[in-house]
Amino acid sequence: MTSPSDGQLMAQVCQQDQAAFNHLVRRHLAPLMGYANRLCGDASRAEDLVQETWLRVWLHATQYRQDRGAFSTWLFTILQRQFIDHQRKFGKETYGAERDLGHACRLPDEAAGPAQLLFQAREQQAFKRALATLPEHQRWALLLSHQQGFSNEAGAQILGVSRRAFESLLARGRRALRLERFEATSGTKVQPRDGGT
Amino acid sequence: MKETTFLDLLDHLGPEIGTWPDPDSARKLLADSQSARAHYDAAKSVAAALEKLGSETDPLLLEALAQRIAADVPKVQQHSDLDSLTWGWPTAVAAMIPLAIAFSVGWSVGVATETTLAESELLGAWLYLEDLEQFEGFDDWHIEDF
Repeated sequence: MTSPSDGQLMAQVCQQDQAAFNHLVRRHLAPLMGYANRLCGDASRAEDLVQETWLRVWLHATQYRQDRGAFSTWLFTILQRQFIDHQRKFGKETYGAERDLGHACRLPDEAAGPAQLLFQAREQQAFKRALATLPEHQRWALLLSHQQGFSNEAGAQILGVSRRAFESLLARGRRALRLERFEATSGTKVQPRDGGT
Repeated sequence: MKETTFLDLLDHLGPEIGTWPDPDSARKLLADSQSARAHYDAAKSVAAALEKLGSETDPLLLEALAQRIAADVPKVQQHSDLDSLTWGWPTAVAAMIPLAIAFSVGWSVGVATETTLAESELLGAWLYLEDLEQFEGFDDWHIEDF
């Protein structure tokens, strides 16, 4: 028996079917929580954000239109707006890009030796620091595209920007990280126009 | 291909050269330029690190969260499209009140103005008649003389 699609489940949720709602929650909770963790930089805030997001899905289920995009895009759009509301309410400084995310990071390669593990851990820390210094819209675009696998169209919808703007955010984010990595490995300081664009 | 173009494509399209518009030129530059190769390696390393970020969360934490969400749902009523109608009517009525007041005030002022004009016209006519009465037989005199 095939599993019902998100659209079918949402149609049932509109009829106040809690079982269908719980099915949707379990299907999408992990990626949503992964993204929320990265946005908030704090596991407990991320949990609150995710919980509020699902509550809104239940409350406003009738507003979902299948023809306007995938359910996951709608879901992440709600989360993103909730997060921006939280930032306005509590101040941006309460949300860090990377603080308490140990549980949200992939474990190191078990086959690697101690020296390699140490090297991997240092590399990952350096990368996370570089990612945290990016402007938030660039960071969000990179996470939506690379961590969550959204298309540029869907990513643009989630961030409420045009597709071109989203692609530009991605390119600028990638360039900043590439230059940081290039400088770290080559020891060469790159001039602002040397990185292209 | 110039190196600046190569780096632009690297940032816009990622390190999968096969998906670029002119992959052969890009591969040639990559073979010839040490700098392009170093930037390409940095971009590949970034792409790998982004994928490694992962989104794994402790399964127990997820289970507990799913249960909390499921427990919260019955406490709230679902909004429906009818909600916009139910709050729409009082809003429309509330918006009509100041409009009605403005209309009635405007109408009263208009009527009052018209009344004042009519009254002043009557008064003018009456004064004029009164003046004429002082010259009794004016019309006859006027006609006879001219």
